[in-house]
Amino acid sequence: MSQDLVVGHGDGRVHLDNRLMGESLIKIGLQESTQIDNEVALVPHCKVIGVGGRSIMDRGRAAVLPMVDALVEARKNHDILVGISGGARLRHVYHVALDLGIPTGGLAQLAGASEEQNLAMIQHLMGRYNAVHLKRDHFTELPLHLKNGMIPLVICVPPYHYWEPLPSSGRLPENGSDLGLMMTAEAVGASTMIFIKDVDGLYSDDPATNPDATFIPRIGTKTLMERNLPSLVVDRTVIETLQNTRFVKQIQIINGLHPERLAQALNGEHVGTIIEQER
Amino acid sequence: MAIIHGEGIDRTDIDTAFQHISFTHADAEALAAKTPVLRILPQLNVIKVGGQSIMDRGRAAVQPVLTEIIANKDEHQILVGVGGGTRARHAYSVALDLGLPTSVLAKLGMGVPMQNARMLQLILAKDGGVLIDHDDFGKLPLYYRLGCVPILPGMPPFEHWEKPAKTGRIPTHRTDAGVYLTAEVLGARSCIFVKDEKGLFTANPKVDRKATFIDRIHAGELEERQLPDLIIEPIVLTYLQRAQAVKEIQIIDGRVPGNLTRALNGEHVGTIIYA
Repeated sequence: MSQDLVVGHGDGRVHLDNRLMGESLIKIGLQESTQIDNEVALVPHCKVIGVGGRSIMDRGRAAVLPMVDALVEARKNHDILVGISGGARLRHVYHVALDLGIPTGGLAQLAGASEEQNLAMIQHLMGRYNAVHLKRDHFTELPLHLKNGMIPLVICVPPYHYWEPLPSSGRLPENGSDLGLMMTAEAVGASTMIFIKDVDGLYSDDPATNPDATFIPRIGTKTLMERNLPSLVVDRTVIETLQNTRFVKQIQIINGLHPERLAQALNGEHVGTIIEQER
Repeated sequence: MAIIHGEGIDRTDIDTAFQHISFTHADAEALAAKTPVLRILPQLNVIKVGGQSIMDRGRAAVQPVLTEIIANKDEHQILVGVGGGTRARHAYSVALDLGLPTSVLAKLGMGVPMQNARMLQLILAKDGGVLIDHDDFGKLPLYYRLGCVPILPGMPPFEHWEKPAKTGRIPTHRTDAGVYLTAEVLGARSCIFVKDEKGLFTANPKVDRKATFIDRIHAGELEERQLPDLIIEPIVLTYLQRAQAVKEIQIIDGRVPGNLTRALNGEHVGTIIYA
């Protein structure tokens, strides 16, 4: 693939000759021509675990300390990356900001702070077990941490900041903690993505408010989108994006109030709800 | 909004509208719809300087555009967003050849607009050009009070978090999307894309002589027409239709002197895409 500097095609522009040198990257068919089936993963042995803010952190020591023990135990057998999400304070700041008329991108810019607080608390609890805060711009150091037995902790929200894509309706950012962490897993090239919540998995409705909600142990993304459930245990954008991911082919949602399920899920057991890619 | 202290394994909660509903619930969207959206900088004009169309032409194309920006900066608040261009395509091309995924391409996509933004800042420094990133949005009012021209690399900071497309690996959000979303979140007065064509054509006028000019079109209609090529990233059309503030953009030929000034004054000199 030789690529030469070309000073103008007689049109005044300095070009580098290459396959994308068309007028735009939008030409019909160009995107399809870049499709391959074996994209390169960064650290495919890494397993990504999301610790819920509202479901675990806001419950305090009774839920958090057993979860910390489970994570430390899991690290002995698996290279893990742990995402910490927000919870009640995130919802509160969204409420206030919406009331003030802050646009979607401004709301997204507020999301990280409560995750940073939760991460600071978890990192302090787990520092003695080699937990470190992996900042976004230090992402390339992940292999170093894994090699050295560290437990890298990340915040979850995607760094879309003011550029949060406009939602299809309303003003709430659609790309929340669950989506952000799944995209982290996708960027890492992880094949295992586990979300720790405080319910057994996905139900046909919110089990906290609807006693008739039924448990769904396994479902495909396409089927799940078509069912258009009134309440989902993960961001809807997770389901949409999981239809197109190249590395994360399924996610498992487990109940962190039963911390022993983490090790089982990491070993590939089905102990919660598995949502799998279906195109 | 009271704090509810959780005993034992119960949650410590804050009593808000969200306490008992999840973010994915329709109720949350209903709440969002109640308040009118704030226009953060309603006098702002966001101008995108094209990478391939302007920057890669060097002084001959860049200098006249900058001269016009300086001439207008006291009259209009201007935020300059910059595209990538040929070097971005080169980096994408090498990365694609190496089998790398969208996340890496999106990361690479930041480098070239940043180089271009740095160059523009150096040229505009004597006239108040300042380089900004998203952390500097909070200082924009100060910059305008001081008569500055803030310059921003157009690529949105999604990097590794850019979602993969259904097929292919080219990132969906590039500098057109980044600049448009900048204008929208700030509630700008206008969003002008300075390129090297009169505006939008039915095909790429550089390769198809039969392409005809479209002077004004609805974003939804343009999506439906499925043109073989487009002068702007298609995702911008999607967002235009969801916008709360910036409901039209204008694409102009920056090589025609006076075009930018006229567009800033609200005149129709190129293609207007609206929703």
